[in-house]
Amino acid sequence: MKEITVTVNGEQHTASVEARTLLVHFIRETLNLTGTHIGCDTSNCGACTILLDGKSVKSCTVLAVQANGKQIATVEGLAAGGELHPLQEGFKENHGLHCGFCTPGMLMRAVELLEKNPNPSEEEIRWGIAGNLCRCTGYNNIVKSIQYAAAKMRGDELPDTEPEFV
Amino acid sequence: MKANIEKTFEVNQPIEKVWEFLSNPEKVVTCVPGAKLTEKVDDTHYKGTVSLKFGPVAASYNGQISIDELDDEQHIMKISGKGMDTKGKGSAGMVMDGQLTAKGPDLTEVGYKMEISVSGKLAQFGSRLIVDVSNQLADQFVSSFKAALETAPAPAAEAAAVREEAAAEPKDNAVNVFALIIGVIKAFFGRLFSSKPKQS
Amino acid sequence: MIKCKTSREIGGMGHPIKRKEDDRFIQGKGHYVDDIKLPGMLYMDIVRSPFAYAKILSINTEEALKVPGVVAVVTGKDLEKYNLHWMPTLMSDTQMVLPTDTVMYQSQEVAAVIATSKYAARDGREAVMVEYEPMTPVIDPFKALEPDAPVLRTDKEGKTDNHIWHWEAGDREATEKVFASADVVVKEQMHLPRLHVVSIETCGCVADYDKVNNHLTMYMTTQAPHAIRTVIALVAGHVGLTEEKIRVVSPDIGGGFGGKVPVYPGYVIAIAVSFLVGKPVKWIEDRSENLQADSFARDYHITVEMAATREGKILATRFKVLADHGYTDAAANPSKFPTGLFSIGTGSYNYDTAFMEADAVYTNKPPGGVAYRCSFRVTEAVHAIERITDRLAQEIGKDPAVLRLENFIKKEEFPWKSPTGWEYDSGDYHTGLQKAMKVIGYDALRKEQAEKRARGELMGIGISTFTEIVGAGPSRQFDILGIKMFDSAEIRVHPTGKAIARFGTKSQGQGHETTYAQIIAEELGIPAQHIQIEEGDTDTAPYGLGTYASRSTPTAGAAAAVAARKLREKAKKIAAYLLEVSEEDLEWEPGKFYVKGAPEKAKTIQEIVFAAYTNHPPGMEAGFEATHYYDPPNLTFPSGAYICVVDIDRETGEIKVRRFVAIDDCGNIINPMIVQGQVHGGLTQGLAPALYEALVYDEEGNILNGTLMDYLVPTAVESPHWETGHTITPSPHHPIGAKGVGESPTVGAPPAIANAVVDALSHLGVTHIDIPITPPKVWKILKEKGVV
Ligand code: FES
Ligand code: FES
Repeated sequence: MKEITVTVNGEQHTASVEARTLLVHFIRETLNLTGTHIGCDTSNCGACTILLDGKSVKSCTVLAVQANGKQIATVEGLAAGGELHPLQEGFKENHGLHCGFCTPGMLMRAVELLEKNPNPSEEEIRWGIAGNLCRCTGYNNIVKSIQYAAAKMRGDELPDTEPEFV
Repeated sequence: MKANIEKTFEVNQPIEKVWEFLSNPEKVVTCVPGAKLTEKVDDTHYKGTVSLKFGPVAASYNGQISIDELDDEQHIMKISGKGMDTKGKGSAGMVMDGQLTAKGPDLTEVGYKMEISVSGKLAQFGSRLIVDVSNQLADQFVSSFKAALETAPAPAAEAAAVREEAAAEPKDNAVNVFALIIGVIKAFFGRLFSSKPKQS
Repeated sequence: MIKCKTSREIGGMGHPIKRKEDDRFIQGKGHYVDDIKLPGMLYMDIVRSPFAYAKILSINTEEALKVPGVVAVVTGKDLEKYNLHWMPTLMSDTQMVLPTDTVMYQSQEVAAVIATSKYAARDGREAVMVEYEPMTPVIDPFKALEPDAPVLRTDKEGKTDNHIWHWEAGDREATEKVFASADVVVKEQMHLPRLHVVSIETCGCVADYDKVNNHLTMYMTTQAPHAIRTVIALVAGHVGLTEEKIRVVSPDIGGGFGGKVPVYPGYVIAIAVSFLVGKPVKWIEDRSENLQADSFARDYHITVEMAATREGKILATRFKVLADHGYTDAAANPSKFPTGLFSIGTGSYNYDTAFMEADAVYTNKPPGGVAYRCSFRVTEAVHAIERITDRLAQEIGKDPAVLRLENFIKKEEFPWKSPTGWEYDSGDYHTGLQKAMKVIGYDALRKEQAEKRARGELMGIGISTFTEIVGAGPSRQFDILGIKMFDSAEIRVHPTGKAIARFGTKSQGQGHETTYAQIIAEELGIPAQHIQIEEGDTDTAPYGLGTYASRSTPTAGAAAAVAARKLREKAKKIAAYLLEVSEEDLEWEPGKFYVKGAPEKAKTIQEIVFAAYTNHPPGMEAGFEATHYYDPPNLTFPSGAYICVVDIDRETGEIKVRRFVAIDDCGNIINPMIVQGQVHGGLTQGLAPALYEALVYDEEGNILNGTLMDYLVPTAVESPHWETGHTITPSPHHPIGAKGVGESPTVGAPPAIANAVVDALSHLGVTHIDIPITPPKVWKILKEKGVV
């Protein structure tokens, strides 16, 4: 067993873990933050995406001990002070989710994406979330949700959220 | 799941000497990565083990090898083997046809065709990996085989040394196979992430 | 534009109101089964077979039991003591829970390890030693029918072959006659490959048996909780678990698509273990297990033929199917429909002669045949008819759009009796296709294609104009294990005018919490945001058959409307009492009753409901609640017109879907935002089998792509920007004129894409390519034809 200390959504936690414990299990089982999901066993789906020191990582592919001393951000910490993050608002306004299982991972991946590229094109968003699978939405509205959030974060006029259903 | 491997290579030794080595299971097994003979049942039947580590999957097969054909005149042989994973995680089989051709007094061409079949855990890695890994193992076989025959005229003592060296191989092989798998996985993720759009 | 009867505030039908369920999902507060943690909970992991067909010689659990944390290892022999080692399938076949002597497919459950943690259970799993004697498996369904094929189901007494059932529809002789004298006959053979639903959440459960109260709570990923409760009672009633002692809870579900309808062995083992050890047991399969062992979809080998006049008038069709069911028929079809609703395959065209037959076989593959985003085999049927229609167009040299427009059933010909006996309720196929052609710019595209072809570039345009059949179903024909396929709604309005409604269905992402509220809002005028929707708990929800095959809106949605109308009747009586007028003098407008000619004399629904609790008329029952079990008089028949444009790289065979226009007609629309979202998602799930997905087995029955590394689920990069639209042809028999939409795009997209690729290569003499159409397949054709 190893003792690790991590800061999760601004709160410090110390716990002892087996060396082989995956970070995603640590987050879900030890910290009881079940917003981070598990959708595969081969690092393909991205449902487990979190931010580790500000970088999006698949937490099923990181050992808990590797996170020792680092900052972790999960979906639970996204809405600061009870106010939805622009991405959360974007997903809700643009029907960017159906079952919601991929959503936390998508959101966390998109946080980093927009940080690096505040004004991404549709193509750039699609490539940017290519490590995150969604089986429900067909991605159109996820792209739209991220574009909405980008506009909001830039302070631009918000795009229309009515469905383009001719 | 099957993988077919066909290879020819040359050895700088006379044909009879190569044949003597190749047709003796106890000798040739030292060149097979991860393999060991544990028992001689009769002249054409042996028992043995093959251990490999494919990343997270360790496979150790207990099996039988039989020499189905051995033609000293034509220098043709056919060997088959099959084994079960010792932990019940699958099985593997192999059929090999080998033939020697004299290319000169001190030069022999070894040609062989191998059909490897795998069932169970290993097979689930998918054809890409099995073919790649089998090819790599085959390459190692070739280099060990050449090394065993070419390094020195092989008096008994040295043959034993060679054997020991070869017997030490499995570990290395295990590492190699693992490295290869990591390579495949890396390439996969490379494909996923390499074409990230340019940042403005 | 969709016309709405209610204000946006009330949010009745037609309003694209935002989803009520989203708040929890976007904040990580969804509650999925793996999020459940109970005191003393144990974890289960499953040992699986590496062989497709083998005798089990021995199972050695000694080492496993030594692993720290491991509590028990359960084998088939253990379950046999309680007669729980076999269970019935939905199709009245039998399936092993755990084998006692033989494994029938690779990755089949062999033993279960129970431990105090997930990791210990996995360690224990690795330590279980099983000795097998492999046997030669039967993998090819055609070979399975050969006389010398080994008989797989030796457990079935007297079984002498691998044949499961034979099915027919239509008129064989009449069809033969038409074919014999037709000018033109076209024929293709196709395989709709084995697929997996790949919901991003896998399957799992927490079985919590309380010994003291003899009560089981089963939290599980199921699309049909009530049916599951009944099945558990049927399987475990003999050990004392009778139906009133069972509560099934389906929490939030991370996508279902039909894959969460079946009862998997893991669920049953978890229940058995919890029953034996008296502690909660959690079982969550990992993705590879999910892909390798859970129910598959499709796997139909179809020979389809079409007879027509030289001018292109369709005269008859003929279908012959071989269905590979794996080692048991565990399909999720209504009982009387072994091929599901395949007989919808005569399509959207006006002709009166058809014949279909199907045979099913056992092979050494996982069982299944689930309705993957599909009303039971409709996807297979639609692929066949839409491909062969294009084939006919190619044969006689007619534009496939023109051929379709000439053969469509006309709007005024509905209700229309199909050659296989269905009564299509309504449709307007001409308007749909013409709209799709206009949106995509069909004529310009054809021109562009001709120019490109002259330059040697490969571009194709594919059309699919399908008729769907959803909303199973009318009780005279439809049941599952004898239970009629109605569905239910129960509405309770509280004194302050806010409501809770419960349903027998279960959303897995479809947005029921929003759309059901909108239906009730439409009927009662109570704002949708004040109507709480609950599903999935069998202790509280009324009995229903669940959500799959796009049946929720046609059945439970109708039940909601009818239950609400019962309440409106009551409201009218109360309003008449309060306003001291007779009922006939009252007029309804969403949210209130008013006196005819005196609109200022009115009672709002809120006032009326309050009175139902505080001042109800003498002789009337107090309270404001209603329940309805809706038995649909017919199915509903949505339709769609899809057009796809592909570009093919002539050097690599790579296919790019450049544009895809989908015009759907699902009758009246409850929430256009959600309908559109369903269409987007379904289209990507239609793109997947067309170009990427298929479960592949080698001749020994090894699955070659049993992980997400090899099973290619489309990402945002492969998935094109979908262009969607609608036409509205209400269902005449449905209370709110709606039809169901979830599956239409998954059904309609594959043939549109396949037709586009074949169209791009048609000048080379290509008439058909089996899906998934991968670059290597295309490249090989290009090479054969001398293009590369
Ligand atoms: S769980 Fe699928 S990538 Fe981490
Ligand atoms: S919303 Fe269900 S997987 Fe994305």
